[in-house]
Amino acid sequence: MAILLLSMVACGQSPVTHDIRPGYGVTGIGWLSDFFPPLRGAPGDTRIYVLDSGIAGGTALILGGTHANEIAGIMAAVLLVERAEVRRGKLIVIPHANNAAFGYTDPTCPTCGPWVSFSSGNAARFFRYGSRLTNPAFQSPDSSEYIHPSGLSFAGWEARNLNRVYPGRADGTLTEKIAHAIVQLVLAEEIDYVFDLHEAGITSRLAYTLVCHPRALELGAMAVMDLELRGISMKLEPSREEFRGLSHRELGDLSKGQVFLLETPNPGQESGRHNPDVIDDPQYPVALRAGVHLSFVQEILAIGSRLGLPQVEVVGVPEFEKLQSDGLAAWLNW
Amino acid sequence: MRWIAIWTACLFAAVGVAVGASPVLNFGFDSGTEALWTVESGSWCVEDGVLTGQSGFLLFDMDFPTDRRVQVDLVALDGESATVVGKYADDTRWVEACFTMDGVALRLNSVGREASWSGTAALAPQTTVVLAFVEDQARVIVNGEVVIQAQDPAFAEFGGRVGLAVQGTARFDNLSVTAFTGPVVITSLGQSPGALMIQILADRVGLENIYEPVASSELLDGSGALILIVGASSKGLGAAGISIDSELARGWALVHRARELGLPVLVMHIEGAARRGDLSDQIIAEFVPVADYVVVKADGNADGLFTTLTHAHSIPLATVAATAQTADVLVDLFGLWH
Repeated sequence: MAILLLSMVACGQSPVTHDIRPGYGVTGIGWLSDFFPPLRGAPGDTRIYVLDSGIAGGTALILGGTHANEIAGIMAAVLLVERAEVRRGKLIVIPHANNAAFGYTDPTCPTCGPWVSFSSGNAARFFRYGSRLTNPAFQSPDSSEYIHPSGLSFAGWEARNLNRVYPGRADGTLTEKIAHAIVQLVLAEEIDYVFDLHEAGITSRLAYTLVCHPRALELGAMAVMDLELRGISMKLEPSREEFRGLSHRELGDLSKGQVFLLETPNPGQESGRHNPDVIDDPQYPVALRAGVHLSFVQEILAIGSRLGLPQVEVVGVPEFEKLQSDGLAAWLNW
Repeated sequence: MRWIAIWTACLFAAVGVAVGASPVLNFGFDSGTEALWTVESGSWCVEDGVLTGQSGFLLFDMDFPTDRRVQVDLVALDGESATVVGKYADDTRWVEACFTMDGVALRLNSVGREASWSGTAALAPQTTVVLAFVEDQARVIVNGEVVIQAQDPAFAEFGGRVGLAVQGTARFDNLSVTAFTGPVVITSLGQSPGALMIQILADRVGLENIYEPVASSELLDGSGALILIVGASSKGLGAAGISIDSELARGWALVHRARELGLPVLVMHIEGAARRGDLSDQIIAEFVPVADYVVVKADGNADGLFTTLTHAHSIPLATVAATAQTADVLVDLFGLWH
């Protein structure tokens, strides 16, 4: 048994670690496995960061890295950990929701990873750019089809897609266990708002889309209209009944929370692009994309407070325009 | 919250559309017709799409309900005063707002009882003035600013016609009359979330509304207007278990019922280019031509489809740069206090 465990560690069968430098707002750091102990030590376990104001209010959950190649959502989550402070309520951030997808390069864009970097003066920081799916080294082989707990059938490889397997299974695959653990967190923490931060190809119909669980649609509609007046445009889509397995549908159905999924355009996810620059693309720089994510998180939380929903007040995050002018690196901790 | 409807039956003829056709919301004087008003005194004529009055009194030939909003552009005043007659029941019951270079006076005559309120207003060329009544309250608004707010039981006691009066010479343009009689029905054609957005905006500006994404024609009874939000996706329709044919049939049933009830039909496409496509375009092509007023978000009209359709059918088209700006259009169309 000891030999077997050693060999698993040697093969990377433990959680990948990341360079995240928590700011003053972070009041606690834990693991996703705290909510589902069987995940402990597995490559799907991941850090969670808690920013608790200590003042009664709501709780918001930020999921970055559901897809490990959707870097703007990941960096938006990192900025929250490193810069945000919470004045009311609580913020829980998981920058790398499917940590089992970070250890290998996105096969659809070999030049995009495995690292992206940001520099400041002589210093540099590196962040992993992974894949959409759980590393097959941890979950294989793929079956010919994946049968969701609802009975819905997907292509077999979707079993490694965290955003197809919600609510997961406690005794299921690694990816299903990750989903199950996130559901346990949502229920245990009585999460009021969930933001699952994604990206899509730049010509995808999903690019610049806010998907809302039906309960959250009015809140989302208000945010879309208000931010459009500030020059930040997103399409609004309701989460359909048939979208089983996706975070916005399942987490919304299972909880009382307002659940959203955001999509920004990532040049690295556009098929046919050679050597896409996923950080400094002139039209879609990561600062713009992360800024869109952060703006919607902030706006929705603010509108929720105005509407009498549980209050989560977050400060310290750069305004959209400020993030564009300064660049994302300027807002990382060095 | 008050009930609102648009009362425009007499107005469309003034812009050159045959009586009995779809109502429009504004009286732009562009056709030069003088068939819809009665000159009580003085000289009145339309030149270059602008109504000019000289030392006289003119009444429009239609009664409006008690609650109403009268808006007109006072293009120029060369004389002592220009007056908007907000209500004229008969010679003993009327309410008017009289504008001079020194200010504005709101005057009420109710069977011998007179009352007046005064306010200050700077009259510049092309001043937009509004005289609005809701129940026992009246407001005078000049270029968007409330300059008089008054309360009197008599405001709620009579309705009547609207008119204009001049001492000296004054020029008027873009007269609109809105009357409040029922909530607007907001529904989707295509089951996009745009209808929800309009409902949110209607709530924000205080426009009484009934929001029902799959509204049936019975819902129009007792309402004041029909707003169709056009925009479709196959996923949206499919998820709602609705075929495009049944959605089109529901739309036509609504339009036919609105026509029977004399309700204005507004068609809005406010989700931009992302909500265009074959299904959306099919709905747009069918329902824009039967609208009384159309609103489009600019990037949804990049190919000029809405411009072409509305131009071909002489339908007013309002273009907004952002969805939220549709709130301003609602205020303009439905004559809210704001």
